[in-house]
Amino acid sequence: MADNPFERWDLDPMQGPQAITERLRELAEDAPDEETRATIRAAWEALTMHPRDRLRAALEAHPDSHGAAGAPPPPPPAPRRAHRALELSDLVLRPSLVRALGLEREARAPIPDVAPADDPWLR
Amino acid sequence: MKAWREADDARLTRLEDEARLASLWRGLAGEDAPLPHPRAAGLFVCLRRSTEGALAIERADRGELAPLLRAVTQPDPAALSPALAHHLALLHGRLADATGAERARIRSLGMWLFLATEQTYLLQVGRAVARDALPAREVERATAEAPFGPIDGLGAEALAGARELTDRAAAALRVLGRVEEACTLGRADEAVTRKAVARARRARAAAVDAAVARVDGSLEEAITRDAPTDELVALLWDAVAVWRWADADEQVERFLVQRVTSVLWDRYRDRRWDDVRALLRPLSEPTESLARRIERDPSKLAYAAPCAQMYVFSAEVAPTLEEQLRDAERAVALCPTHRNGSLILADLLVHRAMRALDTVSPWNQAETLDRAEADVRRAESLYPQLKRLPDAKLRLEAKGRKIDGG
Repeated sequence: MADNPFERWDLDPMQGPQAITERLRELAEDAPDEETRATIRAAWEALTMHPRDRLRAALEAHPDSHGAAGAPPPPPPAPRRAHRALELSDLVLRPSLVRALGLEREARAPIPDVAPADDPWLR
Repeated sequence: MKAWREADDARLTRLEDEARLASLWRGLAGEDAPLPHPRAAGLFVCLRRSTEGALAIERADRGELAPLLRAVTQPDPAALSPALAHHLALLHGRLADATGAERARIRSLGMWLFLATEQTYLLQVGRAVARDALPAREVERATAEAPFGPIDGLGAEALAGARELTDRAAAALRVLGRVEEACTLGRADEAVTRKAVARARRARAAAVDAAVARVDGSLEEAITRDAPTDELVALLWDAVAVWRWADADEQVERFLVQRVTSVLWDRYRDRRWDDVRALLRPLSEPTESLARRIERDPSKLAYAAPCAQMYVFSAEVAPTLEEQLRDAERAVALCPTHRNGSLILADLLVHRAMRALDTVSPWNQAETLDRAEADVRRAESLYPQLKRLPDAKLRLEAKGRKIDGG
């Protein structure tokens, strides 16, 4: 069980081959060496090309009870964008949009001191 | 603007449960065992659904871990949810891997067998995982089979270490021998219990067979070339090591008593008493264990005769009359129709009677004669053709005790 690929690579057993592929590709890209990449590739092959292996490994992995307990599920991870440094123009409110939404007064107000995740403008 | 969202509550609960998991794991496995995957903390979600479980968590948060440990190690099957059983099956399995604790392995098996009896949960998980990648029938088969996988795993582990008699394999064998306990723990129904026990028995037998095969091969070779007794004794001790490794397995006991009988007969016929004694020495514990099994369970009658023969050999070479009689009595008790057993016991009884008659004195005459008469009568009932019997009767008659015709 220690080598269960769902647990080793922190994959949700309920996710399908596409999500598994996406996550393992990310891990492979970040892998420190070729050996780790080969291990990830083997796990990917086992989980996506052999559904019996995926099923067996899923049954031998802890289910995500926090996500399926009736309690509000944790938010899905934000989709990863291509690695590109944010530029000022990404944060500036475009005058055309401000005008179209009638938000001139809000746009002139000081920027609220809230975390980016809670900023209504960034939602 | 709402600063704290429901999702943050969920995240906080998850983090708190992960901290609880760490604390619980340390309580179960100690400081050094690597933590299970954080999703194992989902067991707290399942526990929280029952009042007792929620209370146990609350008390654990206040530092009183005992109710939580109890909820995890002795879950009430009546109140057990399949998801909690799934978490516990994996958690105890991990605990057994980390600590080698057999009790944890049995708990893990118990939880798997609970899921086998419940049937629907694993099937639902299986369907959700497989989606359209597998035919429905295959998903059904795989999920029905999954709870028995750990039994097969133990069988493979036992088999892998059978020839070298490894500790790990011995532990696996012991757990396989306790599968019924796991069935009780998981309240497995009759069909699941039958299947689990049969599979564990097969797995155990295969591993023990493999361990015995090595010794048997060496014994066979040594017997064929008429190896000296010392060498055979060493091989028998090796076989006894297999017996101990296999947690005093009956299969090994049967092998021993059957395999060694011909070797003992050869030495017995040649009156090589020291050799007989040396060969019997390693066998005393396994023979005694088999004898107790036969006494407990009449269905094991088939092994009564070879086991009784071991006691006959033992009776022949025991150092004192008392010990000889004790072993001969055991042989006859195990197998009342055993010819050699009856013969040697009758002979020993007559020997005791003659010895008593030799020592009879005026002040203990009646008592001694009573005992001698009883011995001779019993010897006659056991083996009427005994050559020494007429002589014993004549000596008793000379003392005024007539046996034939009152």
